[in-house]
Amino acid sequence: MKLLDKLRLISSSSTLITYFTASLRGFITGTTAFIKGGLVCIACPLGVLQILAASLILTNQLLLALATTSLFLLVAGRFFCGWMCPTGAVVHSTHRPRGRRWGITAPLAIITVLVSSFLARLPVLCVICPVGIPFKLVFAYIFGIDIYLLVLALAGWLVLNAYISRKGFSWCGTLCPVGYLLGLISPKPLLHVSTNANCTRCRVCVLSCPSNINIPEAKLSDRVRCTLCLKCLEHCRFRGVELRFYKKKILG
Amino acid sequence: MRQGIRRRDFLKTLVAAGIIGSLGGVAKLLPYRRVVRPPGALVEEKFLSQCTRCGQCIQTCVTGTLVPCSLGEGLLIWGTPRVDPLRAPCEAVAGRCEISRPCVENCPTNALVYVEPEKVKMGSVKWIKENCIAYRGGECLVCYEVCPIDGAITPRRGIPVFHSGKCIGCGRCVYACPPEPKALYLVPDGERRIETTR
Repeated sequence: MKLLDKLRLISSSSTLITYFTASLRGFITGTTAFIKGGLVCIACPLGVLQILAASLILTNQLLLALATTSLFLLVAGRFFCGWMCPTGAVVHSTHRPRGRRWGITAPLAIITVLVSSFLARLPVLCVICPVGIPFKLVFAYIFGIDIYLLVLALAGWLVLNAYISRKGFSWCGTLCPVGYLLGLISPKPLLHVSTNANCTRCRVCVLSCPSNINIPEAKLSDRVRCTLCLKCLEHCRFRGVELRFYKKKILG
Repeated sequence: MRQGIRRRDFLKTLVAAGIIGSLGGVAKLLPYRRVVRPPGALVEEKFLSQCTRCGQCIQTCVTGTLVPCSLGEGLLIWGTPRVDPLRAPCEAVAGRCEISRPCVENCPTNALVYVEPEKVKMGSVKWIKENCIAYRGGECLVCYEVCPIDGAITPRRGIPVFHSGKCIGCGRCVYACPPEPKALYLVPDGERRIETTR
């Protein structure tokens, strides 16, 4: 296994362990849909949209949490997807570059979720959320309820990921509605990947990218899908891709 | 290698999105069990549409009576809070949670709203007389002793009589009931739910 993937597994599992201990000790409450720690609260943007679609209700607490989340997103973008989400870690570390044929379907996934939420009058994805399941497993463990649904749903998402990764894409980059919405909120965050003068346009980075981003000529609509997984940095042989914070190079 | 979306792929995924979306809509028809909700819960349909299953109420509950619903109670209500009197009673009436209720205050979507203690009614208690110590001739009126409501339980010749009209469903009697299996269980019958969010 590559060094980056090891680091990814370590960082995401430590996120989960931190969540577990903080929940047990009572520092934070809630699962990924809405986490509260003291006065700070964060909310899943898709969760908020689903509640809005299902019940046409938006509360002050949700708006406040959404603002905090957006602040994080404007700084770090989809850092969560590549380095903190446990499902994302599994998806990214099992990803291998292959030929690609699929279109980009995450916007359709968001529409699907919202339409079904509206029809069912229920936050449909929240019940079986691919991002939330690892956190909900912790929650279910603490409160001692059955985890069949969670395990089944997680297995379902990973099978779906195995299917679409045959086409060379990962779940996170091309289909995950939660991650895509996080990207939509801040398409070009302070922390982002960019090519520099060393780039020879060999397109190795494009082939290695799980999100199918044309990195040398990335448009804003492509950047939405970037999970900061840094596979492009890893595969570039000319040190032509770098991770930047605002305009300052920090890696690569 | 191609970038962008082919029209055929787009149409295929659009159809898939439509099918999955309507499947999600059909999910509404799945059966689920009626459970005892925390005090101040909206009517079931609205409650299910506003609850994000985030677990704030369950984790902040002072007494620890709230537990998430399991899959056996229905896919639609999985993870939503319910009152489990076997763990602890709910103290919304004549207890620690009369004035401030952590479950209500921490609910981000107002699926739970504050109601005055005298308007709380989560359900009522049911009696299995075969298990009851007093009915079998023993000396026991624990349920009558712990009941916070005047006239919800009245003793008649040493045997408790339950009045479901006055019972608020706090679960104190169920929690305190000594025999195993218990002679009392909580049902959502007669619950008073909130129609609109203020």
